[in-house]
Amino acid sequence: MIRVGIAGAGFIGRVHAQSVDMMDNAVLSGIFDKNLEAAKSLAQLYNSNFFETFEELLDNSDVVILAIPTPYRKDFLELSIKKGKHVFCEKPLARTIEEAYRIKQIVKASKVKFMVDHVVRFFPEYRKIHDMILEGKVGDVSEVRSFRGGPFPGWSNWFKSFQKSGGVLLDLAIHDIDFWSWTLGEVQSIKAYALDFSESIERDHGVVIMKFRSGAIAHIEATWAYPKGSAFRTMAEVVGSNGRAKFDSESFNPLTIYSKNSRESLSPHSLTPWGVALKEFLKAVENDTEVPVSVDDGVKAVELSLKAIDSAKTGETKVVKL
Amino acid sequence: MKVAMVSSAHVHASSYASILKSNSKFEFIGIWDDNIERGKSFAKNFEIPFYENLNEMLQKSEAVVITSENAKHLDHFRLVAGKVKGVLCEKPLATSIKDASEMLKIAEASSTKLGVAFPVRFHPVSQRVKEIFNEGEFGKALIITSSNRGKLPPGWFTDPKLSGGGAITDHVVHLVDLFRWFTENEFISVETFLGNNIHKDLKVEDCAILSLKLGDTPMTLDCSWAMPKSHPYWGEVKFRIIFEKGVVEADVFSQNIVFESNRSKEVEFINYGQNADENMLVAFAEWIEGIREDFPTAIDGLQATKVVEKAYESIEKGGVVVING
Repeated sequence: MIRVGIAGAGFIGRVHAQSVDMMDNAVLSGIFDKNLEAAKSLAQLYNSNFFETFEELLDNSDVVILAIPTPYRKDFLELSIKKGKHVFCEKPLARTIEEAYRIKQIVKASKVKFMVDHVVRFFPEYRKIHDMILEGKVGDVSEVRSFRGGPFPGWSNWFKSFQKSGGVLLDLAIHDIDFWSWTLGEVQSIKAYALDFSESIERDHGVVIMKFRSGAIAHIEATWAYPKGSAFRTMAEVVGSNGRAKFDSESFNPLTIYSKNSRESLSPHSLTPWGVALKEFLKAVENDTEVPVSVDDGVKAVELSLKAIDSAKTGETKVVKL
Repeated sequence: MKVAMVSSAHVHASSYASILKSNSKFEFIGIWDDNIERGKSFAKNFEIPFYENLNEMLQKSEAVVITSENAKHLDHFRLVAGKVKGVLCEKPLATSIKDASEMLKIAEASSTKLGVAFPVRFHPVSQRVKEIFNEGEFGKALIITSSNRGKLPPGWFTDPKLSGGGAITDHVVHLVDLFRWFTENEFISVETFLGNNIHKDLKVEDCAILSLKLGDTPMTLDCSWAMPKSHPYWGEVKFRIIFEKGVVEADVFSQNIVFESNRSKEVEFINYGQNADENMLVAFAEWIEGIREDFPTAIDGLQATKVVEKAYESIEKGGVVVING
């Protein structure tokens, strides 16, 4: 059994704990969070341990999942790799390009397996769109459009700080930036808009237009602008010479459960996309094979998202060098 | 597991064949078909051997999938029973209670386990709803509405001698089986309401709504071949359950990409949900291997067939017909 520890007991840490719980070949070795109570309560949920220091978590794990806020990733990663632990890291890989490059350097110099959790690649609806494009079903791709978001992520305070989270472009639009560049190849230029680069973001909406070297264009919207209580929604659409393929999370409802004071919409699969991503990573750890999302992919997504921020701040279109 | 197919008559044969071919759990031995031409072309399509001699194929196989015309299931099961470890029979198990009971009897007397292809049970949406029933937090199901509607199927499906009937025969059994499994109750009675046939030249019914009692819970079931030719998907499996303490709505096969094609000038739904057929085939293999206990059996097939036969009886006699007294 692979011992998997989780650093960070917030929203996404909980999601990862659920994934670990579903793995046949892994066991949750424990939780670390600087908020001890949060670590304790998540650990209890899965009958696992909680640790007061990250080092203790490392000592008890073969793999660590970094589900901590963006600015801390580099230091946690360095510690993990020093101890020879494999790392499954939340997106974005880093807050700055310097940190991203440094992470790449550390990872490449080590023998550990490292994967960035660009989980959108593992959502079956996105995977199907990706496959349809690669199999030529939609023909020569002309334009793609996507939308992602809902209310401001109210579960944690650090998203409010542009300095920490990078705002809606680095934290949310990066999903689509990564997905489309994975699917369509090299980006040539980026133009973007966003509303708030302050330390007290309460609402924001990001728009990104990317031009690809293939000639395709992309229109991405990522939002934290919807009123509290709105559903999180995703849409993607691709227009090619053979036709158009699209989905909208609102237009299909495989399962809706209405109970006292709540309405829950589910799209059940045997394994959640986070579970699939983790399973693929653990497979690479077990068999010493390549991970599906590399550190280079993580760096590229950060690079493009930071370019988008740069464009949004300056109003200029940014060229992406090869 | 070494699996062979008996007949390629049913439209689901292709789906099963591609899974038997691609999933590493299976070794696809080949196909035998009483229609040699049809069987040979199917075999060629999937690059598998065609057997003119059924027993030669059975000797190499551990399990068999029967996908012949509904009315031939009994005869074909007779030919394979006792010669393989397991048989997965396409739904409906048979076209009459008499035939279905006979199949159950043969299965019980032989060393062959007989399962019935009810794939909807194996979709993650259904699995989640089953959990809701098992957890019991919503209380009792007070009223259920459901529909399994589709497009007009091709060929023998509309020939009553081979199919046993129209939309009622084709579609009722899926939701009947699903809700028997959900609730662990039996259907008590049925009353059938026929609509005017949608397709005017058919010898079988294609538009019907059943009013059922499942235990003491009222349930409706629409089984019509109501989807127009321009509908972007084969059909739907939908239901709504009003519980004492909540409501569950499901549209099982709705995880779809919409594809609007310039070439065919048509709209097509491309499903990205989990393949329920594949989950079912894997479960079937595990059931035959003895590492899994629950799988729809001939008893489930017989119960579903009962509802169908009684639904037709309701058309003949009018009014409510008792299924299980």
